[in-house]
Amino acid sequence: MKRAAFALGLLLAVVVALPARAADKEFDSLVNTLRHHYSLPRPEYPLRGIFMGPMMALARHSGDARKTEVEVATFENIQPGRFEPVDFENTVNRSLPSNWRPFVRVFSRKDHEITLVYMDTASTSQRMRLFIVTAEDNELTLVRVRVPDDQTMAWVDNPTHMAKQQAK
Amino acid sequence: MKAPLRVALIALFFAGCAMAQQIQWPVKLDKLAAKASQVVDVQLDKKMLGMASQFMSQDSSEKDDKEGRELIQNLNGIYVKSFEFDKDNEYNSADVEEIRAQLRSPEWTRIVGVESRKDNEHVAVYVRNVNGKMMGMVVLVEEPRELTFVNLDGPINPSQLEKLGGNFGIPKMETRPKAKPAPKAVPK
Repeated sequence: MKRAAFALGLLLAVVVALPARAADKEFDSLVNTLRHHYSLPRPEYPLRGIFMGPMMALARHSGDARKTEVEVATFENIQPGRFEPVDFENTVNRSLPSNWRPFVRVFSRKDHEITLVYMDTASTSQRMRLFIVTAEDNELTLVRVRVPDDQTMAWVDNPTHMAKQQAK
Repeated sequence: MKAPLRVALIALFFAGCAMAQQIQWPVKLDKLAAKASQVVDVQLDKKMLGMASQFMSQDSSEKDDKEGRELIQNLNGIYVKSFEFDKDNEYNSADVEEIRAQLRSPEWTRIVGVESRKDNEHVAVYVRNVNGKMMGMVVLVEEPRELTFVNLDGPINPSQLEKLGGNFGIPKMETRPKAKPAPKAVPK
């Protein structure tokens, strides 16, 4: 009986998670492009684990959870000095659909960091969608976030700071 | 002339005029990026500003939020470029001359100029006047290890200027004189 309940629970989790995976083609496309372009190791999806994935998918289906809609992928243990700023930016630009427009670009040789922030100009939802790509010495982080109402002004006021906070 | 062709030509003419009014970022300044330890580039065009203002809380009763929304809704664009260097004098005044030359056109007036010999710092604020209305603003800050260029394109209400400082990567601005502290009461 216990085994049947577990199997049923797992099946339910998979069914709930499937539509979310389908909607993430855009996100996965950028992750795959960067992975192949720079021959990076397999990425980690902290919010798509066996427990977090179904929880996030369930959260997406419930109304209030849209407030925290976020997708994250990280590449770790990258050989330092892999990301040349111009090539990196061009690669990201080519991979993202044209509705994603860059509005903040930070290139720091001092901190060995590149931060690119894109805004979805075709968003029909009630919340602003942002794509943040941060490349550090040996780490690459991609975040796509639907910005909650109460944070919109903070993002507009200081996008660089917020992007860095979000990517951490 | 066929009507669609005429419309297209008129549109092209006005598009040309609009472009001529923009401050063109000199290509040679982009080369400074190679020497800079940090480059920050913020570009928000009218469409993006419209999107951002649309997402701001519409039912907010706070005066600041409303004013902020109004201000960015009216602008055509906000452009900020900032270069930070590890050493002094990685760029020179001639590098910035191409921008200054564009700001010498009759529409532009320098309203603030601060030259600090002590800190070797130069700050200049230019405004673009069209038919008596402020239609744009450029702030140029030159420091030995930092160069910042801010371009606000579109109608600006001077009373709202202060609200932009500290936002979008724009340095804080103080348009009102600081209130003098109240004199201390002298004990009798």
